[in-house]
Amino acid sequence: MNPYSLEGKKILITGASSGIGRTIAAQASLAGANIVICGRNSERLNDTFDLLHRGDNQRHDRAIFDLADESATLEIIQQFSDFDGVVFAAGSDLIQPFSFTTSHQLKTIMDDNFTGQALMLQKLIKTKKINTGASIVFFSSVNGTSIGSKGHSLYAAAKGAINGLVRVLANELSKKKIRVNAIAPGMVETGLMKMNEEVVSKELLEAHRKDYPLGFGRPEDVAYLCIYLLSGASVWMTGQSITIDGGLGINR
Amino acid sequence: MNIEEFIKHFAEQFDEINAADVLSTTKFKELDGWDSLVAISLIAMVDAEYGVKLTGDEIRNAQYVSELFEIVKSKN
Repeated sequence: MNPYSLEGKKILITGASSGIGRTIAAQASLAGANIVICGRNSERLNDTFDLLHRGDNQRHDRAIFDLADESATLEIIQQFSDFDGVVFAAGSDLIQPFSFTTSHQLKTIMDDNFTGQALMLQKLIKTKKINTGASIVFFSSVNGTSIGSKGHSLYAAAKGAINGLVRVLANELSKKKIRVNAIAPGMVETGLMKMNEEVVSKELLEAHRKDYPLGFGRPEDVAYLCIYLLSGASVWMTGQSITIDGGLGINR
Repeated sequence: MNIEEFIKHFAEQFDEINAADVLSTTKFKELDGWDSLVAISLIAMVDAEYGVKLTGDEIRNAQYVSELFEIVKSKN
């Protein structure tokens, strides 16, 4: 059997209503998985749902809720079980110098990028919804892992928290052969990048593009790494934050 | 809002510039210390003080402090 196949695996994907999460959902369905997609926006989540490949014996599901809402998360979790993979692709950014930070902003960015995901995973583990040999994939970023982009302090802090969580969970969950990793991408062309473009101007973003030997990434470039992490091909990979950045990190 | 107050807030985004060094006719990108971080500080300041969303492109297309003031005023 193809070691990269996701056939027969049940995969939960958060943040699936747009960007990288949506592409991962589509690619994982092509690889044969049964997908449960989650997102905040019902219209866009339904668009993702329509994108999913439906082969023989494939069954997909969807759940609309906000990860930041703890009781809603618990309620949704109770409706599902037996996951072979979980992908946390939800997130948000804020571009602002650290000196302007408010406690509300700190809470929002941490909730969106770290706390909501950590608490959801905690509940999934506690209620034994994750199968032996499953793979958990978080989204970190080069920002907060190997670089510190000006104006993104809270986002980088949340990603740093993800990196720490991944190390410890990989250790704790190894008993059940559950693997936990993070993907740390460079700039990928998504809605989040469009927000960057509005704030920092198109010109600056184009200058930044030159720092990438292979240019900015496409969502599918990152999704393929995620498919690998979800598949049996990566059974010996755990506790890592894997950089995928079009060469940004070696271009010094 | 008035220009004196705007210039005071504007100058605060720099480390080593006093409001007295800035005029409405100042070409702000030629000020010592102007960089991308000051630009996003400016966006954050305008949002906090005036409740206005200034964009990177508006800053890029402006030359003089007075132009920034007029943009913020028109959106205020």
